[in-house]
Amino acid sequence: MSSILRRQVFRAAAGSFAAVPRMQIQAIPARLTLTARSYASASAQEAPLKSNVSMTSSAVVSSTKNLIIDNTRIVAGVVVSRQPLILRDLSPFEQEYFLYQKQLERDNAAPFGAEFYFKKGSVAERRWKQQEAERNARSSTSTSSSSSSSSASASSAASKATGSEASEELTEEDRVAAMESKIEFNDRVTEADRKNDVRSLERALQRTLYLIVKKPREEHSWQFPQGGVRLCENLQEAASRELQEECGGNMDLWFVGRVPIGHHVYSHPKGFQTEAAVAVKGTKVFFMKAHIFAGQVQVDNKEIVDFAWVTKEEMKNYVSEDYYKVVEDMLSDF
Amino acid sequence: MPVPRQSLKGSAILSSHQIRLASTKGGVVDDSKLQKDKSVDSVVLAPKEEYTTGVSRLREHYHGTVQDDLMVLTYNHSFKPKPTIPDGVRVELKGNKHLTPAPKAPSPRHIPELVKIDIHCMMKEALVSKYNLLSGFMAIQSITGEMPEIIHSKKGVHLWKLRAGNPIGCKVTLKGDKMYQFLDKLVEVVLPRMKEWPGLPESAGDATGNIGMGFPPSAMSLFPEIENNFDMFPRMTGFDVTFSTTASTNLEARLLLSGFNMPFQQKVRFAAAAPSAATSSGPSSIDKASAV
Repeated sequence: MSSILRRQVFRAAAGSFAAVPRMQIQAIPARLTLTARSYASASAQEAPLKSNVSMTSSAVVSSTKNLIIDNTRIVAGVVVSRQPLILRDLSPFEQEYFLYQKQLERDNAAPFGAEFYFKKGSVAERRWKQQEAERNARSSTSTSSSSSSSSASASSAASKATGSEASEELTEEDRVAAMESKIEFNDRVTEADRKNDVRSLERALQRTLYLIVKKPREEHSWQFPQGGVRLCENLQEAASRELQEECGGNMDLWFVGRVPIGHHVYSHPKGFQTEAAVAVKGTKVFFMKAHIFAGQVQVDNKEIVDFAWVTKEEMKNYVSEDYYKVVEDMLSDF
Repeated sequence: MPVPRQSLKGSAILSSHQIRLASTKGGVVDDSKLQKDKSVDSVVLAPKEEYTTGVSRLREHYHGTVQDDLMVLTYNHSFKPKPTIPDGVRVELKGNKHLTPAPKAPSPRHIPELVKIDIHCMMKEALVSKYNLLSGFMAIQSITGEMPEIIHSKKGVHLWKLRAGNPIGCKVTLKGDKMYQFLDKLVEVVLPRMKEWPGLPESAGDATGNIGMGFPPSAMSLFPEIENNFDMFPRMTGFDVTFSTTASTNLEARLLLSGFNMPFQQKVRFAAAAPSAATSSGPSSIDKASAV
């Protein structure tokens, strides 16, 4: 995979979501208000309903009280993902299939009017002829791989002959141009892959990566970044605030909508103490989806002590079994 | 039913035999035998000019990323199916309104998808001489990689000196990999180089999931295929591009296209959101914001 293509893929991914959020935020404010109400604070008795979500950050006085509904703490989690940067590896069958299709396409293509596209005796025409000879040689060698040895040798001899003719015609100017336009391919396996550096965003380029953080405790230490929703706050605001508190503000993120993509309900063990005045029996975590385009997590060693960018399969090794079962379906297989 | 089943089985064997013949073309089968079967072979080998010669970048992007996000963004959590209109009842809407298709229930099977892209051009010069159409014909063929279909006028209009049956334009319908390749080229090469084009308007779309856009003649020369031998095309022509999607609303269609990096204009609605929005979308929207 060339570096250019890789950059293009990244640009496509980044650009697309740079484009989507703008419109998303602008186009459906009415729906967003409704969703925010129904998801964050509609059933909260003590929380006042907000008139306009987009005004909350500046207009409504923020409260540090946590949101508790029916003796359950409401918590917002964030599933931060990094999209694949390069195309996936092809299976051997796919490779063969595409090669076969390519040959069919070449055989059945309409004749190419070279005289229309290239001026006679021009450099472009010579270069095209040379490339065409190379392509013919390549296709003839690949078709003759299964055939008898005599025909294979004949075809390779023929291709050699055409190749040598073409190279004779080439001038110094052509060779310089060919050297300049030569594409160098980057490695599909990066340095981070070789070192197994799970903190790097430059790893597993073909897969979607997810951010998990480690909290300073024995049980359930690895999980998605999460934190309690405060009064007068919707889920997305809570998620982005918590992420900033835990992982630092050095990340360029886009939240995919304001609707959670999954939830996790669990009851607290007996004797669990919270600072809330009301008795709290359990917690409901709502997961918001976000994409990262640039930046990195900064560990403050207070709330979190470590982090990792992992694929869906690798996540099994970090989080507990119950937690994985809950979040499994939110994650991408690609 | 033993008889039809047998015949079915026979046909299946025949076709698999033909495929084997085709795949071992160079080696096992000798040329004379191949030529005898040529008429049959051509049927098997060239069903259409659709060849999948590799994984498409935008298709992978759609399946891996865009689809998931569209599901989250467009999911209707309070969906109620529209009551169906019983047979024989005719519904008449007031004014210039017409019935739209009922929205589909939210499901992973109803995520908006790009179906086809139509590229169409009409050339007034073809009225004088039909050979003037060839320039646009070749240009469209160059940028899409498919041979266009000539469009003849259905009616004659005296004022325009148009007679019924005159060739007046050409069009191409792209599907599959070629469609994604064209979209890729448009978004990565052509649109960024169109000067003073602010992006698709926020009102783009025909309310049933299709979005169309028009290009001036100057945009044609921005395609790399045309740019390289610009001299060969005597007349540059403008053209229309229509994106057909399975989306049921304008919003879904716009979300889908912006997932492929298609630029859209935006209106600044909230005073608080104005500065950040303006900086994120370039100079055109800054002008707009200041004007508002």
